[in-house]
Amino acid sequence: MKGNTMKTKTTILKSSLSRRNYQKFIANRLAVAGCVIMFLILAASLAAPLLTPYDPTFIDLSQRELPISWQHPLGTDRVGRDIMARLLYGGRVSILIGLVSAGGAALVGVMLGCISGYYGGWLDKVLLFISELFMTFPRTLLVLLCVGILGQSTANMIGVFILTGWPGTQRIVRAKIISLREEPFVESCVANGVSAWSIMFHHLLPNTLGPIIVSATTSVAGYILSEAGLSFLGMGVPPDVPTWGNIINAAKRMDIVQNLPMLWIAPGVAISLFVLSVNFLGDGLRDAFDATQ
Amino acid sequence: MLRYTIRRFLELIPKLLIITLVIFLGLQALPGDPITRTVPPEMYKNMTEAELEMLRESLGLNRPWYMQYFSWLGRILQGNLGFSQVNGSDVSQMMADRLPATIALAVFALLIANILGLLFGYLAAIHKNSWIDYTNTTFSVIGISVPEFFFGIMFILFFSLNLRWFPTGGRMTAGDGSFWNRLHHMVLPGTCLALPLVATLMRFTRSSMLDVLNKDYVKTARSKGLPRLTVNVKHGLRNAMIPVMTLLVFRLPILVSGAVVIESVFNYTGVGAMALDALSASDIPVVMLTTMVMAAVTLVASCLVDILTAVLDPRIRLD
Repeated sequence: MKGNTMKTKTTILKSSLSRRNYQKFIANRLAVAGCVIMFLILAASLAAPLLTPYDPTFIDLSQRELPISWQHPLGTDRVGRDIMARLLYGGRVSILIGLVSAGGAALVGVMLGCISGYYGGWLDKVLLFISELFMTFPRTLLVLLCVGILGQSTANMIGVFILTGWPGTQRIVRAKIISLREEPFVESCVANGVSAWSIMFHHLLPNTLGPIIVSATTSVAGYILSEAGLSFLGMGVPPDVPTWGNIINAAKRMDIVQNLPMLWIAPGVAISLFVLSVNFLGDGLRDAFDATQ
Repeated sequence: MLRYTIRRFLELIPKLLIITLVIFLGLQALPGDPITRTVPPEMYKNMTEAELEMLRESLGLNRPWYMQYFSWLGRILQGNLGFSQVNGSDVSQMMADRLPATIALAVFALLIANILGLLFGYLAAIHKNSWIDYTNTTFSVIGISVPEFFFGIMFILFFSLNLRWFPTGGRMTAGDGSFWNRLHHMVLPGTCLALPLVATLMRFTRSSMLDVLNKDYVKTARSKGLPRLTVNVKHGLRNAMIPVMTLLVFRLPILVSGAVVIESVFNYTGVGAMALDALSASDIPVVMLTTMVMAAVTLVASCLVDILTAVLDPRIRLD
């Protein structure tokens, strides 16, 4: 019992910085609201089978273009699929793509940024050159090219997002590591025979974690928007998989824009709301991690 | 300044070489005889095997790949991108028709974005915590969160279908290709393309401007009794614009990506639409060439923005 209280005390003392950051974050109402909305949308997508009895891919031609009703909260589309079901199940794929791409790109960026910043030299120059090249490449065109060569699939799209997304994180990590490389604590690590790998990932990396988390969060929003744009073009996720972008794809026809507004308003609002809350969350995290505020 | 400009352009060369090399190797890896992509299809059809062999020899298609790369690059620099195998059309001619349209759209969007973004960001910064600041903040968050094509569909519904102020799409009315007609068609897609950029620039200008307004030289200028507007614009905005320009370089590729989507919403036949059409016809070489040209154009545009930044900020030229 006594040991337990001791333990709690030390954890509080040890984590006073993260506690202050946490309090700063909680005080930011927009960030908390963003966080809540984000998790609500995520939870609704995950709990899709509980929230709707319909199969998002089930085509029922007798139920075409139904208006909003208790049976179909958002109506049905041109081939009789329930829009609410498509929206909920679509969220799963859209959010998954955003999270996996952002996570993957951050991981690659961290690895390459550490190597680039710690070793410097020609390796750094080459990596910097490649990252500059990727940053000037319009991502959509690269995805189109990959779709043309490899075919249309969710995995391909995530692959391209990771391939083109790492330079942002790489630059952040690199800059931070270069500024920390000459610090005494690194010197003492070297003197004590700590391996370069361990210095990079155990001693230097934790110092860059704040900005990495912020940039990864905002890039989730970016990838979801990219996915939506590409699926809207019909070149992203294969059309038979429901995603927010794929649902909106139908609104490329003028008669649907006018006569079946739910088909594009609902997924459009879902994308906007999710991205908005992720952006609020990112802003809140940025302020929380910013020691100058 | 001249030295800086030349250095920036020289730095472009290795990047352009890498991009073209990657696309060239990609084209080589595709199945099919490269000569069908090099000569007009009707010419290819009427040729005998011996003539083809001679043509291969003269085009350098029998030489090792790195020699082929340079002769291919030479042909591209002369404005000869080759021919589509699917419909036999001249890729350079398609480009000549569509690239200016996309560039015009992008420049239009950039102009709107810069004018509105800088103006409102500036206003928000000098009237910090006023209603104008809050309106700006709200708009900038919405602007970066709503997908461009969603704006596009809403614009079509309100401004084209309901109010009938603007056409629903296309580049010009058939039979009327005047400047004003083209501009009229560009307003909606250009605005949609600009909105996310306006939002980003506004937000960035505001914070950058607030930063600068706290600097000592701004306080000095004020204490000397210079008019407020002079200080805000000449000392403040000019310096605040430098990080904003740097941001613009990173946003250019995103603008091009957006253009591909927006062109599809408004049936604006630009390069993005060309890449999409080629893709649906599984005309991979054309997609590759389009991507290459767009990447090259983006690269050159980024370089121009860099040079413009150096005009604003003499310190950049020195390092």
